[in-house]
Amino acid sequence: MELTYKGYAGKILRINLSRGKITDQEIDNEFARLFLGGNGFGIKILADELDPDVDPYSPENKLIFMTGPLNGTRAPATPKYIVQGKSPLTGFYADSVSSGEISAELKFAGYDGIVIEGKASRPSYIYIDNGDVEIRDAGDIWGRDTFETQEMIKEEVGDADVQVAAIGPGGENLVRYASVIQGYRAAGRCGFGAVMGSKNLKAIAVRGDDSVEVAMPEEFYEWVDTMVAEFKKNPGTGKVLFEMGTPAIVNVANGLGVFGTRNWKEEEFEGAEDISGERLAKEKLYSRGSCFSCPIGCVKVFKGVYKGKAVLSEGPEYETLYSLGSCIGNNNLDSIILMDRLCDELGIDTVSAGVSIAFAMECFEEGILKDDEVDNLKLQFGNEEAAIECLRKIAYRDGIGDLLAEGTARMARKIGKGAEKFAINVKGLEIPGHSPRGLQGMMLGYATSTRGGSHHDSRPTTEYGVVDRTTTDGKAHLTMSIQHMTAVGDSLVLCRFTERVYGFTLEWNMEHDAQPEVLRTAYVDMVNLVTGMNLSLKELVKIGERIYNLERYVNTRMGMRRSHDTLPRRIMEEPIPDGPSKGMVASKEKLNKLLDEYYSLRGWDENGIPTPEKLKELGLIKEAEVVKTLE
Amino acid sequence: MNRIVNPIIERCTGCRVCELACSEYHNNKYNLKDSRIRVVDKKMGKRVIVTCRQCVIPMCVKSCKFEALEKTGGGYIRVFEENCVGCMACVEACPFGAIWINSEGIAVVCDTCDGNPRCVEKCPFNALEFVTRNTIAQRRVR
Repeated sequence: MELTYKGYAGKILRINLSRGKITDQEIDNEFARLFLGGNGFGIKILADELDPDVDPYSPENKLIFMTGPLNGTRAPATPKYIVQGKSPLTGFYADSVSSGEISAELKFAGYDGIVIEGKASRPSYIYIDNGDVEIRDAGDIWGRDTFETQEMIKEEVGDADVQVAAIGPGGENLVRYASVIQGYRAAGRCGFGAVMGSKNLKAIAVRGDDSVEVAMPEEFYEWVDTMVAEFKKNPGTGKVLFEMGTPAIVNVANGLGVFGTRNWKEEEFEGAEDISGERLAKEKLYSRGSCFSCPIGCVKVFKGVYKGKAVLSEGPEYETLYSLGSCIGNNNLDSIILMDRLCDELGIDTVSAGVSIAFAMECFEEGILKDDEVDNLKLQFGNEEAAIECLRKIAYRDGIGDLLAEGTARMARKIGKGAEKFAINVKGLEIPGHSPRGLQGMMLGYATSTRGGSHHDSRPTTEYGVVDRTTTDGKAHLTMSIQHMTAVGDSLVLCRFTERVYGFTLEWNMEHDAQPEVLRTAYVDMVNLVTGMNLSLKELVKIGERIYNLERYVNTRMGMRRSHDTLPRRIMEEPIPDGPSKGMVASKEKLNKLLDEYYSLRGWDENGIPTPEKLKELGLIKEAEVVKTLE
Repeated sequence: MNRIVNPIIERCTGCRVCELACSEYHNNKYNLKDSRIRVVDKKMGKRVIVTCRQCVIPMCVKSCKFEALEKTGGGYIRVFEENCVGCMACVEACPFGAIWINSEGIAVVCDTCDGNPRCVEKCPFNALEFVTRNTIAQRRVR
C-alpha cells in the first residue's frame, strides 16, 4: 500500500557510483510499519540485497545513510542519522549513529535515506540539492581534513545552508576505524569512513527546501512541550548532561572502580580527577552547545593549551577521556582535548584509536614490540606525546600507524607472540569505557551486541545505580529488552540520552509506573503522533525485536555464531585487581550461562542462530527459509 | 508598548528549536527555510541569532520598490506576498541580516506570531526574550 504515514519523506535515494546511476526508491506503508525507519529500513535493504560474503572494501558493499520519521521535527533529541553496511573492522553488519543536521536536511531534500554502492572511478562527492543529485569531482578536496572539506564544498556549491558529511585522511587511507564527520560530530564506530574511502567517496552534501509533516500536529506540539519539561526535570538530562556533558561519567565510573585503565590491566585511574568532567567544566569550558532539536544540550566545546598552543574541540566526550586518557594511562587533560580535535580532523574513531594505542603500549612494555617496530616512540603508558604522534601516523598509515590502523584484533594476529591476550575488542570492535567486569550485565551486552564492543546496542546506563551491577540475575532479559529499545531508537532516529526520560527499555516506564503517566507510553506516543500508525506498545516491541533479529540473521549469514559472542581474554580471565570492584570478573562460565539464557529467551538455537519459527513469528518469512540452510 | 524578540546569546546552544517552533506556527509543519528566526553558526562554539529588530525607520520597507513590505501598528513588518518579487533589496538593506528570501522566493521576516512569539515560548534554554526596547537599553546601563 502506498505511503500514507507522515513523518517520512517517502523516498530512498539509490546511487551506484560505478555506473553513475541515480534512482529513487519509493517506500510504502507496509515497509514503514514493519521496519519503522533508520536502522530498520537499512537492515532490511541489506538483508535483501547484500551478498554476505562481500569484502567490506569491495564496490559491492553497500553504504547506507538513513534517517527516521522523527528527524526534522521538534521531537526532543532527534538530531541523529545512522550509517550502515558491512564493517571493515568486524567483518559483520554494523552501524554507527551520529548527530548531524544532515539528518533533517536530507528529509527536507525529500529523502529518508541514501543507499550507495559501487565505486567511483576517481575521488568524488555526492551533491543533493532537493531532487537534483549529482556525483561531482572531489580531486581538489581529496587529502583535506574533515573540517576543511566541509567548508570547501559549501564554498564550491555556493550554499551556506548545505550540510556536509565528510571523511578525512583516515577514511581515504582505509583506517579500519575511520569515521564520518558531519559538522563537529562523528559517526565514529566500525569504520564506515573507510568504506566511503574505498568507494572514492569524499563527502555527501545535502540541501533541502521541503517540509516534514506530522500526522497529528496539535497533539504532537503539546506532547513535545510536556516531554521537554520532563527532560528539564530529570537530573541527568536537565542538569548533569547540560552542566558537564558525558565527561561527568569519569568520576562516577572511577569511583565505582570500573574505569578501564592502562588497557584494562586496572579499573581505577589515579589521574581520574585530572581528566574529570568537573575539571573540564571548571577550567576548560569554552562554550556550551546542543545538537539539532535537542533540549538537553550536552555538547561542550573545550579549550586546551598543549605545549603553548591553544586548541578548541567539540569534546572530548567521556569515551575519549577513557580511550585517550585512562586507557593509555594519560592524565594530561590538554593533550586529550588536542587528540580529540585531531581524531575529528583526521577522521578516525577516538575509541578504537585509543584502545589500539593502549594495546601497542602494553605490547611494547611487555617486550613484544621492540623500539624499531614502534618508530622509536617510547610507546609507554602515560606517554601522551607518543600517542599524539601515533594518531597522525594512523591516519596516513605511516610506520607504526600502518599497524595501529588495523585495530586490535588484526594487530594481535600480525604481531603474534601471545599479544592476543592484550587485545581488548569484541568481534574486532574495541570496547568503550564501560566495564564488562564491573557492570555484570554489560558482559552479555557486549557479547551479544550486533556491532561487538559497543555500548549502543545494549546499554550500561541502568547499571550505574538503577539496577544491581554486581549480579547477572535478570540481565539476560534486561539486555534483550534494552536491545529492542536501541533498535527502535536507532530507527526513529533518537539520541541515546532520551532513555533516561522515555525509559531504559520500551516497556520500562510502563513496568515502573513512571510519573507523569504520559511517560509510560512515550515511545509509542511519539511514533503514533508523528506517523499516524496507531501502534500498540506490544507492536512497537515487536518491531524492535524484528530489527534486532534481522541484524543477527544478516550476521549469521556472514558467519557469526556463538563462538563470536565472547569477550576479550583479559576480561574473562583476570579479575579486577584493585579498588572498589576488586575481584569482579566476567568469567567464561558466567558468560556461557548468560548466553544460554539469552538465546533461549530470544528463540535462537544454542549456536546463536535465530530459529525459523522465531523469524516466521516476526513476519520474516523469506529469512526463515534461508536460515534453515545454515549450519 | 511594542516588544521585540531579543536573543540572550550566551544562553543559546544552537539547537535550532526556535526555527522549528517558528515553522510549526507559520506552516503547521517543519520547514526551516521558511523560519523567521535563524541561528547562524559562526565557528566552533560561536553562533549568532538573527531576527527582526523592528527598526523605527525600517530600511527593508524603505528599500522595497514593490510595496511588498509595511511596518504595522504592532511594530513588526508585514509581507504582502503577492507583491513580493524576491528581488533581495530588503535583504541588502537590512543592517542585521534579519530578513531573507524563502525557498518560494518570498521575503520572510518575524511577525512576532501576532504578539506571542513561539520561538521565545519554546526555546529549551531560555535564550530568547520578548521585551521592549528600553528593557534592553536599561540592561546596558552600568
